[in-house]
Amino acid sequence: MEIKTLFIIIFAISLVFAISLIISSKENLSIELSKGKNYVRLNVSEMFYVETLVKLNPLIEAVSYKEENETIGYVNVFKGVGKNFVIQDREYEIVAKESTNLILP
Amino acid sequence: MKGKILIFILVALMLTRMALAAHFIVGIVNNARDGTLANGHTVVLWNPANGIEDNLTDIIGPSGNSGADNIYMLDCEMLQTECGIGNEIRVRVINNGDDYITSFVNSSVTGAGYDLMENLILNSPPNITSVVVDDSIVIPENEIDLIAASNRKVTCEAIVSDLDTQLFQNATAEFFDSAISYYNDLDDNNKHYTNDSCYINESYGGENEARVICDFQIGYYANSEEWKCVLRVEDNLSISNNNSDLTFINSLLSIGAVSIIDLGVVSGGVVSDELEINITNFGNIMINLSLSGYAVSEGDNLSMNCTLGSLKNISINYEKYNLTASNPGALTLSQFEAVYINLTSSPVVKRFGLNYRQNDAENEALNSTYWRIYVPVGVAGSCSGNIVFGASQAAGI
Repeated sequence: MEIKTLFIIIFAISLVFAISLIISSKENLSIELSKGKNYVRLNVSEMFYVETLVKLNPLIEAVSYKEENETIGYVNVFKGVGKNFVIQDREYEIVAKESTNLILP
Repeated sequence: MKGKILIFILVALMLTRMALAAHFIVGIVNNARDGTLANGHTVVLWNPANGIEDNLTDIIGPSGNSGADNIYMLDCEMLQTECGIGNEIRVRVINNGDDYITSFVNSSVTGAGYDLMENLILNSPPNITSVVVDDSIVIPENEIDLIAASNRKVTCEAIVSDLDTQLFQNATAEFFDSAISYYNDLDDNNKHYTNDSCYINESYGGENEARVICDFQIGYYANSEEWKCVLRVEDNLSISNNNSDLTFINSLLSIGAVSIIDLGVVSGGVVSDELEINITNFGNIMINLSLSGYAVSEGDNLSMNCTLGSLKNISINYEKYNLTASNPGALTLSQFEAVYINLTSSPVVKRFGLNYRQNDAENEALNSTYWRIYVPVGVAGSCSGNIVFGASQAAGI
């Protein structure tokens, strides 16, 4: 493979991630969740727990992220089960029952 | 070239998303009906299409993923072969050693944020409330009287219950000499019996109860010792429980011999040919032999009564035996008297040392005895008499 082609591939991947990050950071301003799976990066100024997020957004079915090949998740069933983790600056999978605007604390 | 780069970028993006994806399977496991908590037990999740080797586990309750009492929570996308919409998923509680498990529930994976499984309930192991082992002779209790040269039916029965109102899929029992045998020992008529298919009467008692009856045919040579019956029942989840009862098998003193002995045609003044009579131990203890004889009535001091001749009786002393060795061939009276022992009118216990049967395949518990009679001159016709063989525990001479 030519060096030029390799450079284009690396540049393209970097560009995609950069755009993705920009979009995610913008999502914090007004994040719209569509029905089903959403991958959202939350840039939060104040820490809060996922339970709080789910209570504010009852249409959320589950919030999760992966850590060391393990899924950390919180499911909105039976008044909330799973790990009540702290929302940090990272990407989460949020599954919504219906389309909704994400409300942050 | 541009097309290839675009595909590569899209794949890279998809992989990033897939690495983040999760699909939770959540469910409730209720406590067992006997009060045992579900918390702390382990659930296993698998896709039957991929086999149970590819599985995930979680601890029910606060120490598990759910953090909540009686609830489990698993991400089925963590299976080696990730779950997908429409896949069948099964969940059950596995045995952590205390025998509290569940059957499995299944569900199809949906596109929702999680799937809720049907509730499970922890299975309570079956309970055996009482075990009684005895023969048909109920008084005295806890004693079994064997039958000479035959079998005695011994019944081990129990009342069993299962709070889950499930059918019992199997009931077995073992009956063994507790001094030298044990549960799961090999069958041997001297010391161990097994019944692999006991009768389960489900209509007995309440809906949670059943009566289990396990019969054994106990051979006459079963050891005279304390015996134990261990009865085991298994519910339809293959969870078992057992309980036991003790009894005692009484000693049985019994021998067998042919009923008619024919010493043949013997001329007057001659010793008969030797006749071998086999004595069989039909009991469960070592025996010595008690011997006596009479012609017409006990104590008549005669061995035979004859129909013809000037002398119609043969003295008891002329009928003799040897319990240890055969002496074939013709013998004179003096030779006869030298190697054979006189039969007596009164019973005499002779050392015989015949052990009881040990071999299930063939009866080796028999010994030969050797008999002759001297017919005095003057005796004629047909002679008949009685030899009384008896088994004795007394020390013989």
